[in-house]
Amino acid sequence: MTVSSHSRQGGGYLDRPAPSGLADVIEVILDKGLVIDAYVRVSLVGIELLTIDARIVIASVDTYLRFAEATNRLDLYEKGGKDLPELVEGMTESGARGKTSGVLGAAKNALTGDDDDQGSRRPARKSTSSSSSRPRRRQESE
Amino acid sequence: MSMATITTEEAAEMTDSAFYVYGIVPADAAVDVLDASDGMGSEIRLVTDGPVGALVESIDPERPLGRRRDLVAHSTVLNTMAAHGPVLPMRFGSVVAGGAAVVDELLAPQRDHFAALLEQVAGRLQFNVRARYVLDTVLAEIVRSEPEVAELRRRTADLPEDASHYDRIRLGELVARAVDVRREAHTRRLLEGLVPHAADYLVREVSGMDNVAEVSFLVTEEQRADFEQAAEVLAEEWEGTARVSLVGPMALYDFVPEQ
Repeated sequence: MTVSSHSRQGGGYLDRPAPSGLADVIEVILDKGLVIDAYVRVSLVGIELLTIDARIVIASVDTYLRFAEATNRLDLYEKGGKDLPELVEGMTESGARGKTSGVLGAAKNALTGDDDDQGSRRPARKSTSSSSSRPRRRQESE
Repeated sequence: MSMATITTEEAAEMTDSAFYVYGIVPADAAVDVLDASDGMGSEIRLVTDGPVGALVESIDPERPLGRRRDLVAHSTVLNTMAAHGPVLPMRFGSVVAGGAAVVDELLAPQRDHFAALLEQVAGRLQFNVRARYVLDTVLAEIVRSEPEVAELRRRTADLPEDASHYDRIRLGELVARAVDVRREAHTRRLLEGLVPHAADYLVREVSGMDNVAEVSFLVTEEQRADFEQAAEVLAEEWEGTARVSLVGPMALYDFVPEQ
């Protein structure tokens, strides 16, 4: 798996990851771009499911329990909670991401697999919240 | 193999049964830049019709699209082209049947439309900004500033989960709300800082405890330096609280004008 490179430019604080990480690519390109319905056969095998899965909102009670767990896990007295070393910060971030991005992550994994040649593995999950759509704000006309 | 540009007449003789269409570019687009990107360009051809062209690749129509390689290629090809000139991204998974159809059904009927759109997007790029909380820092701040949270945390910490279920839900609810309040404020701040340096923007839905915001920005070449500087300023301001990442420049996935 390609790991996006996080290069820091000019001693800055801003992360400038290359848009090559798979998760980013999926977020960025799915559902986007020109569709010429009348002329182009669009064959999005497996993609519809993914976009629906990505919109699932975790039930609120579940979310609350996660927040409670994260809050209880805090070690306020030893680490102070501020100015954590970057290493710890990075570990925390990836840990939290692993826990909270379960649905989307699973869908992405199922869709793309870790083997390039297993294009037929598809997430079978159906969503009940398929009606929500991304907010769109269209370009000003010029 | 080097990049091939194919004219209308030659396209009619391309017998492959299906062509994946990456995007629409001007007929004179510098497609050789694709050769340099991970060997991605070797299979990609530019089929032209008058002033416009389609970036296509012969594919096996039986093979489902959606593998990692397909997704990354779509993104890489379009972003590489976008860095060198205008490009209209097609939706991932767009396929036309046969070389003649690329011209007859895709390009020719919308030649003027595509040409006009390409003019509109020239000199414009998309950047995506994402901010994520350093969650422990933010949670610690909330525990310190909200006595009820601190109290609930103390009370639930030493009890088994079953015995403190409702307290835990209450704790989580208070914390989630406090994070939401911060998220709204941080999103406002992000927009205040960056929108003045962009031509348009789109706030994307975010989920996950640590997500602050994800916003796509349409940025002109003239705005680009100021925009990147503003993102840098924001990242510095939020250091320790949230990490800001800037992805791009990329093709205008979120800002393709409507049909």
